[in-house]
Amino acid sequence: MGDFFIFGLPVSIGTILYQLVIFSILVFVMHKLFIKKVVEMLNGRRDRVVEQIASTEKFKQEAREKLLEQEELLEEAKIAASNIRKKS
Amino acid sequence: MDHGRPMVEWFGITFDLSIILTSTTAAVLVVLLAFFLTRNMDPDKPTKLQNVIEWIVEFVQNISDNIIGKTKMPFIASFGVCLLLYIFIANLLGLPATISTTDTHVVWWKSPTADPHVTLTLAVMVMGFSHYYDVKTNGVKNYLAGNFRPYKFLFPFKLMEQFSGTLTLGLRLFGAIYAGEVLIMLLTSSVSSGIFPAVAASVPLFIWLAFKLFISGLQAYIFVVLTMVYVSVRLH
Repeated sequence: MGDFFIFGLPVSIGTILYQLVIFSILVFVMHKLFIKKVVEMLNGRRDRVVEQIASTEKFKQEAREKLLEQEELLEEAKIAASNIRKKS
Repeated sequence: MDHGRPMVEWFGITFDLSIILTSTTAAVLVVLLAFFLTRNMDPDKPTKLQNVIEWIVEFVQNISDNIIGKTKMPFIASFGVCLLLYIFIANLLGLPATISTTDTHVVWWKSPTADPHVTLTLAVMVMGFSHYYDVKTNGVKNYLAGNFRPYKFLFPFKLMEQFSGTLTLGLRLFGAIYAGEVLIMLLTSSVSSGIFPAVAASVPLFIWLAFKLFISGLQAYIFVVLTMVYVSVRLH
């Protein structure tokens, strides 16, 4: 029934060859057509999220600095206003 | 209950037609599934089907990251996803029906993984892939020298390890699925003994079918995990 016998069981080489061929074709087709797209998309999304978090941190830091500057300017303006009031 | 297989001879080699039919069906189903899941992909707003394929790919990537570590070969993700989907679908093919001709008892439709040819070929491909990966990452010299790495006299043991690992990987899958099919055939053949045994056998049949569904997924997962383990053992 088979090509050769291992421990008395028939082995058919054609089935083995066919399975090799069809599984290799399947892996290459999946890799080229579908999985590459998905992996690239996942990586791109992860990079974009990291970049967005970093830029959000940067904007928050800038906003904090600007707030401090504003408060200093406000203090100076108040001091100048009280000086003017004292003189007049 | 002697069930034959449809064998033909082309170019002097024997082919099993039922395995050609069912494994091609499984491969085509995998490609169709991947095609429908990746149709309209949007990177920022994932649709429902896109979520499924993303989950599958991330699942396999998680396994490979945990066992192998960060790797520079994206091919390993597709190999793992292919194995997972192909083995799961191939295991499920034998669930609905086993079709055989009536007078000669030749089985035409069953799970391709219920045949040792298919599972052992897959196991050999996995082993070959791990060797190829080793050569690609470490170079041919390191690959050959790695066989003697901790102690020289361990070399025959390393050979045995490769050989027995391949054997267990293939036979584990074969045994689980083949046993499931034998039991299904046993339970459904109770129909020929009258109506009372048939009704009595229907409850264990349902339970066994549900169990086989679970086993199909589990065996596919185990296969993929062991693939990663073999690759990582080769690399370190």
